[in-house]
Amino acid sequence: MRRLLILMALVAGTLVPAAGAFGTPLSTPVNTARTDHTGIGIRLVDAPVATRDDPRARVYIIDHVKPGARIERRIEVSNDTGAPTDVAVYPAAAQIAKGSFVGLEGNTPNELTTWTAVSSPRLRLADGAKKMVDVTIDVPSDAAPGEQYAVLWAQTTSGGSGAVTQVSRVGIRVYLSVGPGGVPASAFKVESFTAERDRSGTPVVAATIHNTGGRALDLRGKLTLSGGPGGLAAGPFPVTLGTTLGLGQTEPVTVRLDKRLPAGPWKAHLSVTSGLLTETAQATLTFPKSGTGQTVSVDQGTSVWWWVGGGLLLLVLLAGGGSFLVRRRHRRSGGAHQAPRRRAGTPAHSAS
Amino acid sequence: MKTLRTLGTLAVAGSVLALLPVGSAMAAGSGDTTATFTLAGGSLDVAPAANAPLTNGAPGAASVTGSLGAVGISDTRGSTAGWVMSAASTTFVDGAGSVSTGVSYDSGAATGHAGTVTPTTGGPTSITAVASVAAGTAASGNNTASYTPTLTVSLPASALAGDYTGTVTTSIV
Repeated sequence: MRRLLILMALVAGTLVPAAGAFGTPLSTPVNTARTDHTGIGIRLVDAPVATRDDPRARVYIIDHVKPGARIERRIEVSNDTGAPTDVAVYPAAAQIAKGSFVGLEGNTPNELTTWTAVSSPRLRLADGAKKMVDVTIDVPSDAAPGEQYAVLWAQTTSGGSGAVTQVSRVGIRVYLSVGPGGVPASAFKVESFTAERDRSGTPVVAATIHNTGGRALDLRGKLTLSGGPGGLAAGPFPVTLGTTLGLGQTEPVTVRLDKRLPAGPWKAHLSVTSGLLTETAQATLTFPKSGTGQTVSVDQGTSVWWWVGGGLLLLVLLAGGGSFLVRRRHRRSGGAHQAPRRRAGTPAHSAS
Repeated sequence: MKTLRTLGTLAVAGSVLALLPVGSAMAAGSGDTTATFTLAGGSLDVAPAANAPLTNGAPGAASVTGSLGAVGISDTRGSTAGWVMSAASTTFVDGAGSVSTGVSYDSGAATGHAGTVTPTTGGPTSITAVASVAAGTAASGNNTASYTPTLTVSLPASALAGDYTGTVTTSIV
């Protein structure tokens, strides 16, 4: 009898996976019959050529434009729910708080969403159908400078009966910076390291990261330990929390390590990346027996200075180019006799 | 001669620009151009959940709970972007006009995942204002994850017997 019950439970178990085993790779062939519907999907179809190398620009709408500019992109909304579905497509405001990029309730507006229009706000998609939707962002000529956030949502509302009506939506983030000139430089720094142990005794490295640049950042990174007791090395360990940083924000980033690691001292090497920008920092850490250890300042990587140096070089160059043009114009307006004499004395002439 | 010098200046400017990090070179161009190219990545998907029931609380109960059913996330964008799951709720009201005092959402630990992703949970979180409740971090390439969240609706001491209804929004971005 007991065996029969176990058998029944096993059979029932194999039938359940339709929902429960979503994404769980099961080795049993029984599972081939499961429905593999992924639901409603949204995809960014194109990105500006200028941002071809930026991995963030491939999944989000990220741009910097002057007031009065227009941005045109296409998104694709798909239905893989197994049934015809009504999908609403709309922009809504978003915010960055506590290290997360979060879209606000419903269609909460902000300035950016009032500039944004979608070509097909309401779609009726057959099962398996896809539909291209044009997105246009018209930045008014009197737009205030600054960075704004929004999400382009594809949304469905549940049917059937039950106390809780469920709205499911999936979206593409929009990070739009408005202002004159080029893109505000992205910059951040790792400010400090703290070695801790959580309640279960697992060593944790908490690092504080400060966004010092002009754009929001999507952070990911890894931590490696080296020079430990007996020359041990460990890692890399992925950074698991605190992924998005708004302008001027400071967030702790935690990395959970392995419980079996000795207390140290270790040389911790943290590498954090947002788009094309990577910062590294190092510090020597010893994990306390329990609780929070001492906060250690870091030896900052040098990549910021590349940006500063590059910017300065560009400025010098622009200034040089500008004065050259001014001089040339001045020469042209200042009579034909004088011009050839001056030119003859320039180093450019002797070099050619 | 003038042309030669201009060309020389341009060449110097060009070579200096080429030496700068890619990011700054990009900065100079973006904003003036609308040229785009087509991306080959896939989509970010959410499996929509059906209406969900709440347990029948006894009159005077402090709260009622219910399972919201499975939320499936499928990320085929092939990137390291990861995703954030946030939730928001309206207040729950019954026919007689009683209004809930709070709504808490617990995504629970991920019930399954595939691909390179670390699905995290925020634990029980008040969602009367929108809040992040779970995230897919340390992602690389295509990944999927699923959760079976639980909703807890707090009721006022003066709550009348009745059927409470409300709307919960689950967002993946």
